[in-house]
Amino acid sequence: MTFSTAPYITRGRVDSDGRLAEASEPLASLQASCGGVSGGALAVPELREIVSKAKAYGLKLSRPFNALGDDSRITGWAEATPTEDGGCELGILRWHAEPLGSSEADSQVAHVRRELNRAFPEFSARLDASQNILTSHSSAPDLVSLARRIMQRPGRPWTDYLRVTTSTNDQPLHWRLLDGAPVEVEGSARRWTAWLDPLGTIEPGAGGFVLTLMSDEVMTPPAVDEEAGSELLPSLGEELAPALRRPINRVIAHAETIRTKLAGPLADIYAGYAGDMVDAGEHLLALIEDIADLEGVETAGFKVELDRIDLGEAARQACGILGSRAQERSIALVPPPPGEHQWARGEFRRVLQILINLIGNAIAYSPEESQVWVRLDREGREASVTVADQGRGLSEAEQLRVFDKFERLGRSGDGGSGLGLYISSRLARALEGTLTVESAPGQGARFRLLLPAFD
Amino acid sequence: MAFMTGLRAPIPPDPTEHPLRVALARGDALRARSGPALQHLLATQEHSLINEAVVAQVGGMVRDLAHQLIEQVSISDREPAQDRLIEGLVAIDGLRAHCQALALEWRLAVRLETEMAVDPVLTPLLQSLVADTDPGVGSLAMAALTAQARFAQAQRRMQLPLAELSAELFHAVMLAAREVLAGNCKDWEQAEARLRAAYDEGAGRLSLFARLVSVATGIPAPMPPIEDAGVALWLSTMAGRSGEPRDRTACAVADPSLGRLLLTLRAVGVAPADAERQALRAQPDAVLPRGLHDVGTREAAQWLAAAQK
Repeated sequence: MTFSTAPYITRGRVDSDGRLAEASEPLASLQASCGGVSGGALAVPELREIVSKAKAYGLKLSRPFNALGDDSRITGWAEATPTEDGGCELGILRWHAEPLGSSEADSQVAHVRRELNRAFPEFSARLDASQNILTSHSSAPDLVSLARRIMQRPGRPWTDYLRVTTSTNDQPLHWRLLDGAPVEVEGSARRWTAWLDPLGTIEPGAGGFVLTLMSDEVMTPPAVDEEAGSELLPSLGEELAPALRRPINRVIAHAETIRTKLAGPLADIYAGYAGDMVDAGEHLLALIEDIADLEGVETAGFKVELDRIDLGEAARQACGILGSRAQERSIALVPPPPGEHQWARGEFRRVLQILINLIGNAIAYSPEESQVWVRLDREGREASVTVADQGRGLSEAEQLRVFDKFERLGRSGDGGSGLGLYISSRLARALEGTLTVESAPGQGARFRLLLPAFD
Repeated sequence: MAFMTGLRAPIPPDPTEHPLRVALARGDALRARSGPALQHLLATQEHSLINEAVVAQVGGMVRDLAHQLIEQVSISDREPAQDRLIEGLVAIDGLRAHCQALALEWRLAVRLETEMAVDPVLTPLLQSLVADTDPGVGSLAMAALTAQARFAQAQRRMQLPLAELSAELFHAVMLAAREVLAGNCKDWEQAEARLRAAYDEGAGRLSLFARLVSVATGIPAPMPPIEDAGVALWLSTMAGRSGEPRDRTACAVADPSLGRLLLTLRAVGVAPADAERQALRAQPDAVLPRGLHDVGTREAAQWLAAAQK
């Protein structure tokens, strides 16, 4: 009967108000990745549930838990023993971290992402029971010619309009064999997957199907053809972004409700899925904002309003906004001291946007316990603000590419779009300034925004 | 004395609330409910969700729980208190279902022993886990083995130790016992505090098996054959890997319609033909429902999730 008193890998103590009063590693880091702070409310959802049950029952509990760390999925086994002061001792018997993107659990994450994408497909069509297309709708520029072909010759099997790459048979196969099939679409360079959702209650498919096409690849924007493209397509920045933000915000809000089990008890694995939906939704939203910004700066009529601004004030504001994110990663963020000014000609809002992008990157790609400095300077007729970090630094080849559109420097899966620095450098140019980088591998990086000084 | 005061109490003015009419209605309702239960008991075959043996086993476990609680307090008139305690325990939905699941699990273990010589305690897979190169797995398997031996002994005696309940059920049992005993005996409060302090969910058999499933890499994927794993480890593996509650999985194994069992096996990733073979091990006489070959693992999981609403 004494088996469960085996040595704990890590321990924690939760006080009577549900705050994690003490925690050793790796529990302390998990608390931070789940959005909690040391000494604040226990933020790991499934551990919180175990602790509150142990307290409510006055019983020692022993249960499995799942959690999402910064870059790993954690499965473990926790024991919670209520204490006399109304708190709870937390002991972790098993702790298993798997990097995201490697395992079976991740195929579940991928599955959820896919489900989310299916809610916002780039192409969807309603099929009848024989898989003939009745209506279709597309929001992707590279599927416009597909939509046109369907419009010209409607009512044929969907497999007539595109090519199922795994099948040599021209006739529609059984829908189960086509569900999830890779397809090629004329006019699109991307690889697509077709999904069929059967409708009808008695026999699946008796009421027809919903066909959705989705692709894992983000569309590469058409090269120079900007004007021709803008005639054909709705503008993402002005028209689509507001329309997309609302449904995605609703998905995030509802998924958040499910994740936190506000509407009632739920199997933990589903709460986990909901958490993934929140993440994927937030990523999607950030992507839309980036793309809308991009469209803004790339439009010929993009204007900035130049004014006398204080780079010191902009830097301090940006640091204030990102302070908590830096704290979560135990990074010391050092803004210019209050009272230090550097006057330049620019648009405050845009400079703030650039600084938030630079400082945000520095925080995201620096090791924990490191420092990020923001400094002001003046060189001749130019005022500058520099963001320096202690990250891994950039090679010369990387420095050449870092401001390119969609450049990720080999990173993936961290929610970035590869647009931030590109947008920032375009903004800097619009402000009649420049954005430069100095770095060497292992030496950290210094991003510097130079603007005309204003005396 | 209670019925005397009942006799002398004023009759309510509303004729529909007349005690005799209330008694008439209650009796009729009871008879109406007992009909289907009797029919079910008489009609069912040997291996099914309810039969006399399962009812007796569940009744025995509940009586044993009541007995353990009464033992904790000093009480002059034990019999009526124990009866009311049993009544209170039987009214806990989750406890009934849990005892039924345990009874069904045990019956299956006994049948596998007689028909296929699978030991209900020490099975080949558990034996290999005890000898695992990872000492953590080995000692956990040993603890699970010991707990399984206790379980076998207890089931043969139709007993269920309080310590084997999950925290939720333990808490519900404490509340039911408090209702009956707190008024009758002075020392209930101390007894409850003692029982709660001694409780350790992690020492229970089901917790040990669940932990073993979560750490042991030596359990074949997607599912080990039932004759290698033994019923206990097999059920815990299926529950752990499918995310379905273990009690529900245990009932699914005894359900002759086999739908839930086949879909759960499929959802865990067992190939259709293998799932049917495993299901027939548990229910040799059952008629397999058709169509499993058309069902994908994703679909199986979706159907299970939808059926739980």
